[in-house]
Amino acid sequence: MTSQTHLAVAVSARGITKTFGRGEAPVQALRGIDLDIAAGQVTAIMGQSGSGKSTLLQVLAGLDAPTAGRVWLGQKELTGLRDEELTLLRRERLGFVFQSFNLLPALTAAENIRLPFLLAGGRVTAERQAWIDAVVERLGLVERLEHRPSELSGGQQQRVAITRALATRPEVIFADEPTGALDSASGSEVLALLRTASVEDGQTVVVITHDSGTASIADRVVRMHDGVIVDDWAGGTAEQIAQRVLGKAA
Amino acid sequence: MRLWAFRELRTSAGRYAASVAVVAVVAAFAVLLLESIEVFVGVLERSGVDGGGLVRIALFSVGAVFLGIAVLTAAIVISGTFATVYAGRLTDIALLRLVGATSRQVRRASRLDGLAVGLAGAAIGITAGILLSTAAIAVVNTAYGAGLGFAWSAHIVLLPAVVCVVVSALSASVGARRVAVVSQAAAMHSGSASGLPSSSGVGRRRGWGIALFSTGLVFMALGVLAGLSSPAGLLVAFPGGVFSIVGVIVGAPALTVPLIEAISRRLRGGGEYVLAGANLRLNSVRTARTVVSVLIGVTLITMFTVAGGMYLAQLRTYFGDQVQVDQVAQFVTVMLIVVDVLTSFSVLVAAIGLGSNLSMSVLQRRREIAVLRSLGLTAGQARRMILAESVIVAVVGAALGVILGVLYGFVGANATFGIQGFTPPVLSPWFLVATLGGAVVFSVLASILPGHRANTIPPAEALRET
Ligand SMILES: Nc1ncnc2c1ncn2[C@@H]1O[C@H](COP(=O)(O)OP(=O)(O)OP(=O)(O)O)[C@@H](O)[C@H]1O
Ligand SMILES: [Mg+2]
Repeated sequence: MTSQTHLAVAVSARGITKTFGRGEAPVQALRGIDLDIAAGQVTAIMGQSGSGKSTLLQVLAGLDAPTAGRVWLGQKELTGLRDEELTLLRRERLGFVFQSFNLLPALTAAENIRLPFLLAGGRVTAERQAWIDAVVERLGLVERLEHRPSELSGGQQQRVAITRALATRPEVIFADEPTGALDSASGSEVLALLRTASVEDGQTVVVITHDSGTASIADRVVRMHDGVIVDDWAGGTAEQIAQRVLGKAA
Repeated sequence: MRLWAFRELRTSAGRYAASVAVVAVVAAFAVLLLESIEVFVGVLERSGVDGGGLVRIALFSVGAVFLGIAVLTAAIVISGTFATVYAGRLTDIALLRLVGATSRQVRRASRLDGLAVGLAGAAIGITAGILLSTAAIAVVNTAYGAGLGFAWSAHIVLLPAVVCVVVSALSASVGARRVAVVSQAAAMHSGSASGLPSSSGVGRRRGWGIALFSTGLVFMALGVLAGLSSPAGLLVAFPGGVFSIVGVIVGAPALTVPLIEAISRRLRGGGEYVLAGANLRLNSVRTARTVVSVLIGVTLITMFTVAGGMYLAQLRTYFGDQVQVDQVAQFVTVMLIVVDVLTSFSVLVAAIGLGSNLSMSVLQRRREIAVLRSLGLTAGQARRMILAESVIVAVVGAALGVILGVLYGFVGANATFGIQGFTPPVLSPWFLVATLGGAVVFSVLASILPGHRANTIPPAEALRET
């Protein structure tokens, strides 16, 4: 094992295509994607609106089946799994952060954070609770735990959502434009949290973004265009990323 | 505005299906009722019995009471449907308000929708009612050789049509009211439909509910006391009953929320039951409305059953077991069956309302359900979540209905014939089993389609914006 290959692969995809609709005007959202996501890294996916980023994320996360191709989470192949198995796998091994937070309005912040355990129907172990408490503390949510989402600011809601995603210590966290609905201060804060999770806890993160500032927290940037990957590099500062994206797009 | 209403009506026609069905059931019921009265009075007149007109008035009054109950239940369902549909269009409405539509215009648009629902329901229901009446007459004719004919009369069609259309338009307008008064800014702000003002009025409603219910109890107690010396006690007890049931309807959210909370916390199993309870609590007003629509039917059936049972029990202790008593008993039993059949229409309306409410709440929670599915709610859990919501609402409604029904039956019976001795309430355990069992069966059936719908929502929808 050489030093280049010491990073395990968290998610891999081979020959992925995805076509929406049939007959008259089918939309080819993905046209042949091969991708390996390294464990413990932050991978950013960039690209213009409609380039297929969200579709790729859905396929990688087992939320939607590809039209063709295969997807693995670690050693486990996702393609071909039944809905029940996929659902349990998402519950146990994946975490999600959405652009519009997607907290449950009927539950308090604390209940939203415990939601994955609630769905599993099991008790939260003492060790797990200690981990959740630590994350809550780190994200500055201690005072907000008994509040409903409607009583929280956007930034606070997103921090609750990130805590929810981190709570189960998932193998991969998928985030689709997690800062899209936030002002720049709350946005930076959220990104710093994702970055910390990766650096300190070895958390694998896949984050979609339009914004080169967001992409600057990534260890690797993948750029999509029209359903294919057109660029794939080690990222850099916001300016460097912006320049490379603009240069390629021109 | 009108154009908008029509366009919206076309696109959301499916959501109004339950309202149309409910109106149709009420219209069919009305036609059946009126036609039965016509035929019955016709037979009396032809056989030369005096006082056909008086009988007609008496029957008409009884019919009006039951029709009124069915209409009331339907109004609850329709206004609920409209409240939900309009809540789903909050952003549209805010946009319209922004470009200058007044809240009156929004309500007028809703009345137009209501009118369409009323017309469609009335047309279907009246046709069904006429067919059913004709079939019923044919059955009676072959069974007893009665030689009855269909009694045509304009009011058989006109009355149900007018009642249905007016009630639909009014309920639609009432249902849309809360949304129509929403300020532009507030509407633009609330991203999801669950941001409706709902729980704010719960405290005030609890106050009114308790006041009305207590007043009702006092009147009923006085009625029972008066009944010990005169059958006129019913005249005192009756307004008490009306006060108290209005109190229950007004205070329903405050009454049902703690009950639902207690039940959902006791359900062991996966988190789906906790989620079901949380959903019901969040929409406490809508939940209460559904509970009330179940409660009304069950209260009525229980009330008549208890009062009838008490009457029979008293006859038996008074006369002992004689042939005479048997005849009276048979008559009372037949009357009870007729009452049950009449009331079952409002139960049918309530069941449709239950299913429609669940479907609406699934529609409204599309995104939420997609999020839950992506976080690991299995298809089975999603189905059980909807099932639990349905069963909890129906069982709470049925249980409260039985309690109220026993109270009313007991008060009514003693206020009327307490002069012959005070009688304790009579309720067969079979009735209890049948009522609660029926509620469970109905609610399970009502949840099948909405549960299936919940599982057709792709989890990927959680990631899609807007
Ligand atoms: N459910 C769907 N049905 C039909 N077409 C779809 C569906 N989802 C996505 N598409 C199409 O697939 C293409 C890729 O969409 P996708 O949402 O993946 O883009 P994106 O890169 O995430 O864009 P954005 O940056 O705007 O979020 C688009 O042309 C879109 O219209
Ligand atoms: Mg996208």
